[in-house]
Amino acid sequence: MASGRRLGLLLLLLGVVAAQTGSAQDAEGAALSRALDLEGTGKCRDAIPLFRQALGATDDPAGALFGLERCVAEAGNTDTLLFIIDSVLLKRPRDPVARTIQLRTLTNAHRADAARLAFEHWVNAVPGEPTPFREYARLLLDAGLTRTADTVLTFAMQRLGGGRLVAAELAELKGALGMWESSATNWRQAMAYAPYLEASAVFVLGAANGVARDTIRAILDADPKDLAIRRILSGLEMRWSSAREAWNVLRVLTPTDSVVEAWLQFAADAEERESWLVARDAYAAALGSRRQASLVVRAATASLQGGEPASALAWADSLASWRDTSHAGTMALVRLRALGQLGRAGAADSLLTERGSTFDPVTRGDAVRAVAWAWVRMGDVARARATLTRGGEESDERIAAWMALYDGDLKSARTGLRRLDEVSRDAVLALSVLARTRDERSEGIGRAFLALARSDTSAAASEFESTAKDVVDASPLLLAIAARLYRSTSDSARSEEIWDGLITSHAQSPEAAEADLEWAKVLRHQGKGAAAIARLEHLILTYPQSALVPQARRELELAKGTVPPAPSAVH
Amino acid sequence: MIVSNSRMTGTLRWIVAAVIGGTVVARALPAQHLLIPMDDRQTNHLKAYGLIFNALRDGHKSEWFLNFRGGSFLLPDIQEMRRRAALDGIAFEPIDNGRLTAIRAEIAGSNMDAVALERAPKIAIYTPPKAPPWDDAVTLALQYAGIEYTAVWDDEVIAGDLTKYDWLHLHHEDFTGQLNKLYLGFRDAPWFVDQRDRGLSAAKRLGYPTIPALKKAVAEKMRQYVEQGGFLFAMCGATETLGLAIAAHNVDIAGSFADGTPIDDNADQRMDWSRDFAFTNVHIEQNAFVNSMSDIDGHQVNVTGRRQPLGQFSLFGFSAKFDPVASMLVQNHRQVIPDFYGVTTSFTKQTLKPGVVVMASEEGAPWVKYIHGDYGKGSWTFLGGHDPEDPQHNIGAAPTDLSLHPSSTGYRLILNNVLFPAAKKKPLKT
Repeated sequence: MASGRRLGLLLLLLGVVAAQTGSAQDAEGAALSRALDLEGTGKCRDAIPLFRQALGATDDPAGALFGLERCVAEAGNTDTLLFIIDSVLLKRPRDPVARTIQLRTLTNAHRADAARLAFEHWVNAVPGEPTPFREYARLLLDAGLTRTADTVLTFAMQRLGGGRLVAAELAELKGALGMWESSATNWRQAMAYAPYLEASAVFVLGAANGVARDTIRAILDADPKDLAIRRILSGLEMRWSSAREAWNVLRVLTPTDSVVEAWLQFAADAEERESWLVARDAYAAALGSRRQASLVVRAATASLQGGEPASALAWADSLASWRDTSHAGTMALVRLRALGQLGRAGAADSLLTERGSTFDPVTRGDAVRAVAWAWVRMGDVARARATLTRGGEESDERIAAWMALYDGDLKSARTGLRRLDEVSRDAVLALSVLARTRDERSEGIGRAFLALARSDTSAAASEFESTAKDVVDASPLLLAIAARLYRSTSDSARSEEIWDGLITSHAQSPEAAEADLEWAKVLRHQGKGAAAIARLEHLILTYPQSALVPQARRELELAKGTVPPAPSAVH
Repeated sequence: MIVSNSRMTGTLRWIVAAVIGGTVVARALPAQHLLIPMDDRQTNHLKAYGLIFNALRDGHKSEWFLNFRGGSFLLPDIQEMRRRAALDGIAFEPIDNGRLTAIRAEIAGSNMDAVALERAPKIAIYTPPKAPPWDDAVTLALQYAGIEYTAVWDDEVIAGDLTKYDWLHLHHEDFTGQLNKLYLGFRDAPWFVDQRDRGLSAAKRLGYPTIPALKKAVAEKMRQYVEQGGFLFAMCGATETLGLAIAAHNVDIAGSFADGTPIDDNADQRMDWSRDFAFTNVHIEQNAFVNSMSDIDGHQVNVTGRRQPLGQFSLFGFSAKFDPVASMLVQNHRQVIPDFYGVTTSFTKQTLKPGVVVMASEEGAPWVKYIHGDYGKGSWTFLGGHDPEDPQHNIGAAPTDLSLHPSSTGYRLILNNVLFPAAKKKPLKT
């Protein structure tokens, strides 16, 4: 009976203690919550006592410590924070958060001796652990104190029996000192325990140049080919050379689940950078392991965006063979556009006739306009109109504007094209011509742009040149366009005649300076340095206010050999 | 005070006529002088030096306004000068005699001076035959500024041709004959093999048994050149190794990989620093596997454990009237310049001779960056580092394109040295 009473008393006591502990923890939790609320409303001073209260009983003081650090930093009372941290460390000498905040506070306050002492205490409190070295070295590197960081890391290597556990910090240090080989080697080691530092590695190593890059490439390219390390190299190639090189680094990996994920992420990044064909290849590689119709659609769309409509068509065909109709509408539109870009407006038209009824109204409208646009780009204005009429679609502004231009209706073309946000080369050219003349009609300009649309460069050049006589106010511009087009057909002699005419007969026009510059470039590439120099000097001295003067000076330096040749010309 | 309407009209008419007349006169008549500002108004500081140099070469006179607007220049206002300035994108300000008088008054009353520049110095660059100009900061600068120079190499130096020139420049040549100890990392690289073979071939042709022996002889010729009145400007590794080669005229300081015999064990004690321009009490690095020549360089860029990070250095301000030479050498539009590595980046204070003029140093560091001194009838200037616009300068890095750095503060220091021998000698005031 007595023992039963004692047991009951003990249970009661335990219950009271548990209740008290629970209520204390509740109180601390409430204090932390209130402190955070106060901090959130900008009342940091009021939050500090609550953060201190929250520190009291909780097993995990991290939240309260970070809150204190933020608020005390705002109040500017470093000594208070250090006092609190000291009291926490008396109870929890191994606490990494308290130790880190102590080091950070001392380093930021430029109290180097105290920071070093605090670091040594931490090292002694957790023998054999790399955290103190990592945290202190990182703080020192962030503060630009590379020499001290070097000392700390050397000490780490002695105490930890090598640099493997502080490899990331060593890598960053070596990078800051321009010791690229060591830095790359250390990053390789660091990836074994900290793959999340991949972006840091790319940032640090990305600063290397010259042969150092090749050294880094060799180190990161070596076997074994781990995904994290390949992603670093890929990131570096994206910065240093091109998306294509970046993809080449990743594509050699064996397609595991994580690798395919990495490929898909890379493809999405490449799309962001408008490296469409590289994105297409990454999707294609992923498709080898994941048979998903959505990936085919993305590959086809990327092909189309990248200017490879034939490839887009091939993707569309491959999806058709899957008999997967989940993306049929989107794919038909891709196919229509691809056919249009390939100059196969007839085939696009047939496809529209065949599939048009299965499209939803929005897709159908897009499809009709895509086919009409295909006819427009082929210069067949009549069929474009017929397609729109047959499809029951209004001509959209873009189609109407271009059709007006091809008809020679400059007034309508001017109004229509100005409203568009189209930035294609042809649109910019058309707008520049339309802005230079007040004429409302010019059959010649219409024919010239129609010839361009049909990719008949010679005919376009000839039309622009002959029309220049009729459209007097835009004459120099039309001649300059003609010269540029002749140049692209390798008829430099005709270009030079036109440039000469522009410089002598239209000396006050903006195209005269451009003629000087373009002519000089041709002469320089022909090895006629003296003639090129004469043209460039003429430009600089005659048109000192021209926006082309900086370019002319650059060309002049190259022609005189006073600067190193452009990288592509270095052998 | 009320002016009648008719009088007002008359006055206004007179003012308008005067203004228009003045404009016409200003357009019709050139100003008497062209001021080439060298402060932040200048659009191409480096080309400005070329403009002055070529004006002197063509027989025109110029003046260097020390400490006036970044070390500006004065030229006669002639069409050809305007043409050249316009072509090179150099900013200039036409000024008349009245404005010039005001400038001179300002110069007279401040720490400024006007130094007459009389003739373009004849420039020799010590560089291997057929070397492109892009790996040597001085040839880069001269090429960009359009300043003529002649390349000389061992044959010309040994033949005594240096007496034909006013100014001699050296860059990263290793006058100890150890090819900068680069065999450690590059012994199989084609360019290194070519450099070594070329050195050996020149030594044999000129009657020397080894490359170190040839380079010592070349260094001695250069010492004599300065002693007899020449101006020597050196950068990068040439600063340190020229001193070592001169002081080691009777000591073997080349490793056995370079001349087949080991370094003299007592090399440090046997060096004759009395013959050298700038250094004394130097400790020679005898370890063939340590890529350093001595303790002259403070940064030790190629020695992993000793390498020091780059900071920035400050130019000293000198009295333009009492110390015109040092003043000329530090003319710049900035006083603090980012540091840059070279085989020799800096000069430790402990190895400098007393009397060496320190023109730039890093605050709190045990080294200095830019030094100058007289020697015999001539003078020398040393600037540590390889390329002011390529601070790390890794071997094989793309060459610096100075058209991207037309106002480079570091390159201005080099070009100050090019123009300094053009100055008319003034009697020393101190």
